[in-house]
Amino acid sequence: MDILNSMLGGFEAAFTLVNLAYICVGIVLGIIFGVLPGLGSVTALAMLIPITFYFTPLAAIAFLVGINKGGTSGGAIPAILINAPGTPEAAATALDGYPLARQGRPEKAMKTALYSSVFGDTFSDIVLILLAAPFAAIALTFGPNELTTIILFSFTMIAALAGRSLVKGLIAAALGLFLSTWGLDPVDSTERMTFGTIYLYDGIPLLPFAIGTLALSSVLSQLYDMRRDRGKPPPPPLPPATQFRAENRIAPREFWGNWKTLIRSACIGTGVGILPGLGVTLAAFLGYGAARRASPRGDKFGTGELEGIQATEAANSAVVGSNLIPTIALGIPGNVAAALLIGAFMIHGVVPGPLMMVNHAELIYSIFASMLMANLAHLIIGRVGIRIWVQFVKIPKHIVLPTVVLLCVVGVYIPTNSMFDVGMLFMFAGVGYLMRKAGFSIVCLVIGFLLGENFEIYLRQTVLINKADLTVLLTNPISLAFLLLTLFFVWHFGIRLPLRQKRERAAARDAGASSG
Amino acid sequence: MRTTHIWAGVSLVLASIWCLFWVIPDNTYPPDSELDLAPSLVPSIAIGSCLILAAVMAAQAIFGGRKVEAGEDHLDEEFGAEATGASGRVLLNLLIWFATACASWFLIEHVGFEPAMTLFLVATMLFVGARNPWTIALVSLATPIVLSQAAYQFFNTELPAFWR
Repeated sequence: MDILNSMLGGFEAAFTLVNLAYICVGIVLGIIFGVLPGLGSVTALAMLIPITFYFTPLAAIAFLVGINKGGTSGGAIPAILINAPGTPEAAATALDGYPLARQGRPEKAMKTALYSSVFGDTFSDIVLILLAAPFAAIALTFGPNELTTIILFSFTMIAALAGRSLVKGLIAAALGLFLSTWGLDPVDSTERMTFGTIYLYDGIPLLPFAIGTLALSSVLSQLYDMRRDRGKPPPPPLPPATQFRAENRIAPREFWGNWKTLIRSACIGTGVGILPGLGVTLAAFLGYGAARRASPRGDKFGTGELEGIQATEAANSAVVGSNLIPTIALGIPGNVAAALLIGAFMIHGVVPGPLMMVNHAELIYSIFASMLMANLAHLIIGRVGIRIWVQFVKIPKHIVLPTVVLLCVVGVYIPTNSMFDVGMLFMFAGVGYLMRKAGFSIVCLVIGFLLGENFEIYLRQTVLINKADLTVLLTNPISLAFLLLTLFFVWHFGIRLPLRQKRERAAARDAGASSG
Repeated sequence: MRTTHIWAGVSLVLASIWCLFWVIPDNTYPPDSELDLAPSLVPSIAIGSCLILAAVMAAQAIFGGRKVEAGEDHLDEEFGAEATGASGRVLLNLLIWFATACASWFLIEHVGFEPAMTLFLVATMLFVGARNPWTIALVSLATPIVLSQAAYQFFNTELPAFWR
């Protein structure tokens, strides 16, 4: 009943023309960024956070949530039309979407993707609304002892699950933690790694760091890839739509006939979203795999099966809402998009974590209401603009990518009017590019950077409260549980799994040699 | 990727040692009270972890690794085919980027956003293979002007230029 009352209050605050306009603009921009080659919702979020400086906290978060929702589904459009996923998570959508488009039914595939995406989104938003408050209430009982070990566990979990190598993930997280300590010390306010410049007193600015490592480094990598691939043939032309409009319609019975797949995928996506470190791409492929195994038409997957599109889109969109559960309950982002939303919360003076539900309950429920409104807006905008989005697929990469560099520069410059920040943007773009090529997780770097300050504060509080006796972490049951989980992750992902993979490779090599 | 791991591991070990023994001690102060922890503690923990892990990575690559046969190496989960390893070409690309970035930064600061970014766009579009002069001219002239005007009209921000 409390949740219902709070949600009604949230709708009252969120249901304004201005807020609706921000949501709609966010969705349109999200879809466009998702459709444009080489971009995606993370790039869109990183680039557009700076302009939210001028918005109210509610409008800013609603706008960014709109971008995230639109971007996640927008990536499916180029995947369906030209087999070139706009976002990594849309790669699974291409498996059935592209064959369906080649059969002359691209609109049917796009509509299915959109409706499934909105379904998954709505499902996970409802789970978020139901679980955020109870989770936060539990988290409120945690003190610095528990929170220190929880953040330590998060670092390990994200490092283990975000990439192939636990060691490389942990190195990236440690570097992020180190970079977060630059600036004035949070307790003593003495200078730390400021190198004599006042620009670093507040630490490394979040926007150049996030935009440089996440967005600009990706653009840079694609620009170099384009130069390398200059002689290669251009992407295939858009598939022609069938003459018969009826073939591109999707009947409610046809769509809801796969309700089990939709719910299964939404559950998978929601589960993946709740766990920090697991990406949207994993959710999409897990959803697709589960649907293929469970469906009686599983053998037809990959030939233009609607159920395949539904499975992937419902799963990847269901991550969007649920990844805010650890963000709100613990201040720990579920993925990069949530990490960027944490940055946006912080910019607007809202500290992510369980206290959000106490200090900013009205704002949080207004954001929840905005998320539900955004789903409806997403459905309408996505459906009405379906033929417009197709046109964006035609814009060549050699125009889009260089233009995005300018958008990044302007986005970083506007909030502070500082060329120092532009310099930092360029520097972190180079660092991000090198990390991409060397396979070091940028997700871990960014999350290490974002959680670093809290980790330091909690660790220092723990040491002070316990008079430097850290054995309390072993006697406190919650701290001990998270420490044990951390050790388990290190053992499993750092030692056991690599050894098993090594043995399997050796066995496969021996088998190959003996058969040869 | 094995060579990348060795080079990255060795570079990170050296950088971590430099940070641990020079950068952090030279750029932090002692704690204000006896009860508090040194402000250098967490940076040192972070860099110390980095040092150990980088050494582990390098050691794994040197002693435990072997040449991966073609097609056997799995794609990186976060970056896919992007994670090719830090080859000489990647380092050259990085050098080109930093040179371009420095030139752009200098031109934006001392000449202005529009001319600097027009030059940047022309150079980048040519670099990636665009050859239509009309497209290049239109995009490189219009985009900086539109963005500059948008920044001024919507956010009341004047982008740097010597004439403003």
